[in-house]
Amino acid sequence: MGANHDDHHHAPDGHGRALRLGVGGPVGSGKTALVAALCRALGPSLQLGVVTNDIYTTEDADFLRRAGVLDEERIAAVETGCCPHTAIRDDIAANLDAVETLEHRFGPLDLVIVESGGDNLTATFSRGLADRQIFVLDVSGGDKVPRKGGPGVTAADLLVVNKTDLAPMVGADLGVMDRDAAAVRGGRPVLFTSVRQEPAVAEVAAWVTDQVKSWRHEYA
Amino acid sequence: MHPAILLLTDSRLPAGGHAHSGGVEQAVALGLVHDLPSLSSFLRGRLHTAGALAATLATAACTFAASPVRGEFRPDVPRPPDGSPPAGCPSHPRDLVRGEASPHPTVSGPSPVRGEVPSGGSPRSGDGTVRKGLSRASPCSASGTVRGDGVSPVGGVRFSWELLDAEADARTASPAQREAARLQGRLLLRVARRLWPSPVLDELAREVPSPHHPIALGAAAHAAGATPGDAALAAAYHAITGPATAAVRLLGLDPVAVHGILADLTPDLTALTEPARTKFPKPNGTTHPKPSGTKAPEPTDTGLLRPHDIAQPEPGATEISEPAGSRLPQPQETTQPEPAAMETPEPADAKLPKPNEIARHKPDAAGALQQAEAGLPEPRGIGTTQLSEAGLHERGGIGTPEPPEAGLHEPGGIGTFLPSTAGLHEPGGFGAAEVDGVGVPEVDGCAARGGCGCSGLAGYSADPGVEEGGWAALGAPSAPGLDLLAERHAHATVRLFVS
Repeated sequence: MGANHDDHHHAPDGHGRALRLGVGGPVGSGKTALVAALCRALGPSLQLGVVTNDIYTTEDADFLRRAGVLDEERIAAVETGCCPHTAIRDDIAANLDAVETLEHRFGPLDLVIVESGGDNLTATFSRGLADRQIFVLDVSGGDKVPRKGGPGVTAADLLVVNKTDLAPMVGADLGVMDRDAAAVRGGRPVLFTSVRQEPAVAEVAAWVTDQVKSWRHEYA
Repeated sequence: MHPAILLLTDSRLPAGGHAHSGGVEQAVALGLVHDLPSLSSFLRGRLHTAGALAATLATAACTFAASPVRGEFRPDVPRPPDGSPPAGCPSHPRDLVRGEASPHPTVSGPSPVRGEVPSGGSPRSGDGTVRKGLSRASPCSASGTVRGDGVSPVGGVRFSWELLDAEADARTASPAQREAARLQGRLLLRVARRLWPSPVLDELAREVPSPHHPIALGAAAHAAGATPGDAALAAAYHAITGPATAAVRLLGLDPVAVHGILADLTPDLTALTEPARTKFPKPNGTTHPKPSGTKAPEPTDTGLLRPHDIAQPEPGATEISEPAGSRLPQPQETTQPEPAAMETPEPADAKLPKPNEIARHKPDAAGALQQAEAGLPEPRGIGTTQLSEAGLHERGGIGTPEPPEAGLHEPGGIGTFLPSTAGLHEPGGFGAAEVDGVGVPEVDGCAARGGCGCSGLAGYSADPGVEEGGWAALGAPSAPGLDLLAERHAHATVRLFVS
């Protein structure tokens, strides 16, 4: 006997639910700013929900609510305790619960964005939680970071290198980052952004829109 | 032990447990837990309060999952003549919820209960009503005392998950802890329904989407084919391992030393859950205790998971608490399980009660005397003296407060986290209770009598006064309802644990 459908304990497959997009990356790389930008860009055309992860606070959710990019009730905060990566990879229960609660309350949704807590290069989303994932780096960590690899850099469906406006100031060579990322990503896309300078994040928004469309096509 | 229990107790089970500290975070924040000795005290105290309660509820849930009375309505369950709170008790929280009383009910009479509640006049334990609103807003499972709403005026109770879950609510005074326990229960139920799809789990999810963690644990254990005794062990284990590892992270303690503390507590785990394991040695409720006691030993009909039995066994006091003619066997039968008998039901588990542990359950005149001196009608539940000894800083309830924002830093969290040893049995325990956001003022009754429901282990007294003072006053579910469960389907666990 499978799960009931008269409550919000969904079966794990993708039918009849929104695309779940994970946004992960190191602390301070611009994940929340990117999520806010995506909400602004996609909010008019898609039914959205957002789940944020913080260690002890609701900082990121509060930021998004203040930014006014989305009805604040559609922004849920998960507190992960001491282990931000655990909550998106090993024990996804709290995040799944938050996602499904959003879908239950506001569904049908087109897209639920799950922003991880700031972590390190090894953080990736479980496929049980996120159908697609974006990994966000910023140039200030040095142009060697893509070369270092790690599951986030190598395996994310989209790698975003943010804060390109800072590259001259920190001596980061964007060409090197692009080349190194391509070398380890097996053809998966890399996009360079400066969310501060270009808050529309048009390329990233277009990529996400494509993902939503293909998801609908597959699971509608 | 069923191997599925290993999964259910594994910290790697993706059920959200990693984000919870079992209250130790707040204890650290308050400086109450700061090193290995203080952590050891905390864990020992927690095991014998919240752990014992969780084990009790998990056992009950596991047996209930196999019980044919689930969903059955029993109109013959008595209720108070007029549906009003028993004498000496504050207005029923139900009335608060229903807006029929002052949000600050007054206590009728000076410091009620304390042995003064008449036990003959009104039915035991007040009404058959599941109190509403402590954290949920779903229909009463039990009905009959709420007049004017179309429900049977005769009384009655429906045996439901909600009813059982309400037992956990009533014993968890802190709103923050209830919330945390429900979150964890919901997440566990989510995982369990994937791992062990079962109509029973679906039923639980329908009836109580966010059950208290031990309720979910007991039901999951049943769905996985484990025994109620397994469920008890899992719940008790869960109660100490979560905070232990949280303390490692919060304080940077030597993880090996912390596990040394846990290892030292394993005899307590054994003793605490031994009655459940011996009483329910088989899964699926197939081993309801038979009067003749054919195969399974029947030594532990009393005091299941009564922690004070571990530290200070007092069958004499047990006698005191149990009225003559009750369904309870005599203490002598219960507290001295014979090793040989223990081996029959389940050889593996039979090794658990070691001779020295059994010896610890032998009658202890000193313990009984202590109880007698305390002037209590029954062993004081968790054991106030143990609270002192253990330096218990944590309140009852399975709830493991979440990291700050969600739980610990909110008033309820802190308020329930008492630095003193008074905690469980003082009126403040119930004072922390809320009904739909309205604080319920001190309910002296249960606390004063040692029948403090919030601690979980004394709320159900064999003494009617205590029942009414405690359960009815808090709007807890009916004791008769649970008694019936106990009589009919081995849910004596619940009643007896807490007697």
